Amino acid sequence: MDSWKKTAFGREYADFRAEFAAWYALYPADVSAQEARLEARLTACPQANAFARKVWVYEEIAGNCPVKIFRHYPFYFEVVTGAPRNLLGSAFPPVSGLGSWVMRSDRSGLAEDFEAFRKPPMDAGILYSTLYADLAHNAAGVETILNHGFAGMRERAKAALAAGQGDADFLRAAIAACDCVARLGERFAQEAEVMLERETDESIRARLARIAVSARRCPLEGARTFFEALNTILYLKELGNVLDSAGVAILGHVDRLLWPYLQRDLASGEITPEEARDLLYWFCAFTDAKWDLHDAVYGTNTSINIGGCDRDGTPVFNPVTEWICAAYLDLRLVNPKLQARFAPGADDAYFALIARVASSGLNVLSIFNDRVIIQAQTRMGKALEDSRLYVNGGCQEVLLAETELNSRAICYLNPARYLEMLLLKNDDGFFARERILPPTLERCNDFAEFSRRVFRGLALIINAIAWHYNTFERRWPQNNPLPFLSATNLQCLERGRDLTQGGALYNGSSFALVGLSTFIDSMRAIERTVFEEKRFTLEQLCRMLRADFAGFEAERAYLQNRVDKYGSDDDSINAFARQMIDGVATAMADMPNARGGYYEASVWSFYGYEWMRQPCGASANGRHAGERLSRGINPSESTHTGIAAMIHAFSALDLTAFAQAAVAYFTLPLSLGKGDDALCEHLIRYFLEMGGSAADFDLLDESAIADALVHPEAHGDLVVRVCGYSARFVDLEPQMQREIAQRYQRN
Amino acid sequence: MSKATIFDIQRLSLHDGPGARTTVFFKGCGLRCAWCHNPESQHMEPEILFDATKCIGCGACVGLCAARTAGPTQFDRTKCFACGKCAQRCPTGALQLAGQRLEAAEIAHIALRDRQLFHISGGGVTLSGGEPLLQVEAAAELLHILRAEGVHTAVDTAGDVPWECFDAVLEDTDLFLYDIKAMDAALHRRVTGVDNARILQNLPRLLRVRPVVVRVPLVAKLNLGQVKAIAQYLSSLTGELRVELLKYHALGKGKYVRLGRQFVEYAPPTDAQMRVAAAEFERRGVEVAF
Repeated sequence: MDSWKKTAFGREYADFRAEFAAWYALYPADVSAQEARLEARLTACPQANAFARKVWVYEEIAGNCPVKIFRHYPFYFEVVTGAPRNLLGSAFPPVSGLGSWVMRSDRSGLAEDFEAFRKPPMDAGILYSTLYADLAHNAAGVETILNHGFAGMRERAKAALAAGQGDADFLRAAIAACDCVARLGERFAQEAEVMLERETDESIRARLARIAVSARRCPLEGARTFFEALNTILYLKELGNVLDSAGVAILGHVDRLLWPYLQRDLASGEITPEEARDLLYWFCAFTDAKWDLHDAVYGTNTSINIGGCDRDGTPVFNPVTEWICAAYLDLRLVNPKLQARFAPGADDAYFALIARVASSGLNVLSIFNDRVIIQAQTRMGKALEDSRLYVNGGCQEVLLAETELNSRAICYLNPARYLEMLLLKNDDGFFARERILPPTLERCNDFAEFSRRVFRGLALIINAIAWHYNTFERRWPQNNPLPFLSATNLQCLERGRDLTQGGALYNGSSFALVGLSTFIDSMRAIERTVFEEKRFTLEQLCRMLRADFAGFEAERAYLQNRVDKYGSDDDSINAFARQMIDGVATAMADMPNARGGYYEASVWSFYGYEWMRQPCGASANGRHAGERLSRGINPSESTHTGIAAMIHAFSALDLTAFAQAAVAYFTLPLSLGKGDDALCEHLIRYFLEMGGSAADFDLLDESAIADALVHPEAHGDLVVRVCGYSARFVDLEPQMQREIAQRYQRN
Repeated sequence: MSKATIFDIQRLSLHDGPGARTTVFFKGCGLRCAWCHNPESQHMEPEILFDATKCIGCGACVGLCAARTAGPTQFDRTKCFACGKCAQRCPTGALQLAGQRLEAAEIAHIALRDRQLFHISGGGVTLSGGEPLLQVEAAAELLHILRAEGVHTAVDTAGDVPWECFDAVLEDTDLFLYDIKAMDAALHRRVTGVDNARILQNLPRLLRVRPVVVRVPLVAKLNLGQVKAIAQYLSSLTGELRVELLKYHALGKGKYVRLGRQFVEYAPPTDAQMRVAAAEFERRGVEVAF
């Protein structure tokens, strides 16, 4: 079981973790001298636009930021730019480091404007937002760089500049980004040579010698070997964050990308299987060691995709897939998250492997149904071949590798709150501010009319929110353009446009959604009690909601217990849920964004269901004000149902309406999964067959969690799935701990 | 069309036969096992469960019948005929009716919802209870529908029914789950309320025609001493047989309270006692799991 400890990797593992821990404990590094030089250039040239300022940043980093090579790690990647240890990209407000200096030096007032926009609706529970645009869930064009290298991209940028295609400022910045990569490569090589002079350990010397050669050519040139491909993937993520503060969270579809290199190297004798496996273990353990996992506010941002299919639709499953899963099981990694795609025709052995990961209680796993998610992309007008190359991250958000910038997870919406606003007109001035004349819900002849008006209201509210994000998105290129990341994208260079200017082939946006089932159940309660049974008038119901059911406990109990609920898997409620979900998806999707793309529907919650519950008043499903909202595509928290019913209900829905995935959160007792890989495999297969979109696994050990609340010191390694990300239980806020402890009871 | 009185249908049941299953619980049982964790399964007639912790005293049930005249939170069970009107009115679910008359086809419709899960997992539908063979006509019809749909079927029985009941369902039953609680007749009568002669007669006959999983519930101070005799008996039988040892648990306590009945709690066997019990079967060549 612990055979990995006897490998070269295993023997050095503790030293590697210790070396990383000691180095990153000192972060963020002091870069005040470098930053002062940037400020001086700005003083000398205050009119410089963001692209010009990006060039300065690239030059400063290339010339004056130290590079670090670790003795106990085989890859080169670390450029010291003053960024924080847990680098998500540049959240709002911008984080430290030179990579986000352009954002910090933006004097346009965007940050203030964003704060002024978001605060009132956030206080009123109408939205929850920490980003004006997506700087936290992106991916570099990994395959493009593996094939062409930055030298090839530089040539393309130069040709476009010479031909006068697109924005010259962008193209000059993209060229500077490529030059920066070249210069950093040379400096890594030199650093390796310096270390070689005093290094006596033969195995470390061999690694340093390899870095001295590879760093000069990769990722400047395309990768030739398995090692270079691995290093390129890892390094691109780091560069995207330290150069552009772009929030590169997704390492990529690694088993698909790496297998050709590994095959070639094994055939040529360049590498042994043992060496290759060790390199993959180093690779997988990277962010787990680099990140401070005790800082769990946003948990684990990095992700790895495996499985699924290739561009032709052929299922992907190879030794790289198997070794990655083995690395998770052996090392019990928390970060990165493992995103397992399932294509039609996936190998039985792949199912068994992922089921083992699921049942292990690792709680870092999400699964994705290619059949549903790929179709959801093509419904949005994306080519099938491109859609097949989707990746996921930071949580389950979908992104087409190499061809897309999709601004996701920037803002959370709550339709249950919107229903409340329409019913009770308690919008805290939102309608007036947004110049919305909301539809009245009074005097509807029937529920169909009521429902139409509600969805009209939802569309108006979401449109108004989208309008603001479009306004901010228009300012994105002047706040934090992404020339480095754009230089990994062929279409950006062909079009001469930055990713933030709509340079990618696909340019979607998406809001996240919480409280979907709270909304569905509330609508059902209104249909049943107001329109069918005529038990209450709408006015009476509104009175109860305003009073948070004070004095109406019997009525509340009826609404909660005697009206059927989504998730109970009755034919009638399933058909109703389908109508509601289709309506919500329609209201969320197809608005144009500022980059020439469209908004896409999504249902996943991160921790929004907890963030947004407090300001959300009582709901017609019997939910008290401030009580929990539903998560993802799960039934409401108070609905008594089982996992089989929950999965079967998907068969009545059309989740291809959600291009950004509709996530189910599975909470199971660990004892169910322990030693029962088969059960997890059956549930995965059932989920896929029933048309589920994406699912998140959380196997809770009830007794361990109860004990961890009392004796946290004894449970430092207890990992739970918070909601799309994983974290050590003892590091979570007490409120989050309580909520997770209660999940077991609810499920 | 036959109707059955059932009190629950449980999906994703993992311990009532192979794979992931849906278990249909029939109401009514001839035995009165001291440790029974489904007390609402025992009587054939519907019963009201009253959960005082859920009652908000709204009075929706007051005056509907003679059992509900004293006040909103009062319930005179001696006057209750389980008509179910109060449960229908109760907004909180404090009052629930255990026992619903459904046609076999209606039960099948619900049970078949997870047919793809059965296919994936090698599971199916199990008829349990109570004693499903006490409602043999509806059970047979339900099993026939399920088998016609290609679903694996199992019947969980205490075995204390005339052989004709087995005959009626044999053709459409793939597997039997069969309880043996004690070999000693006097003890059996004491802890289950009935003699075990018919149970012990039916089992060998059943084994000749169908595979059987014999389930042995173990309660520390009641029947743990019977293990050796049960193992000896089972090892003497021929047919496709394996044994599951079921460790006693007290999870049914709340239901006794809601039924207004006395709950007697027993001590479960220790893990060591379970291992020793399993060894009795293993040493006689009987496949056993717990």
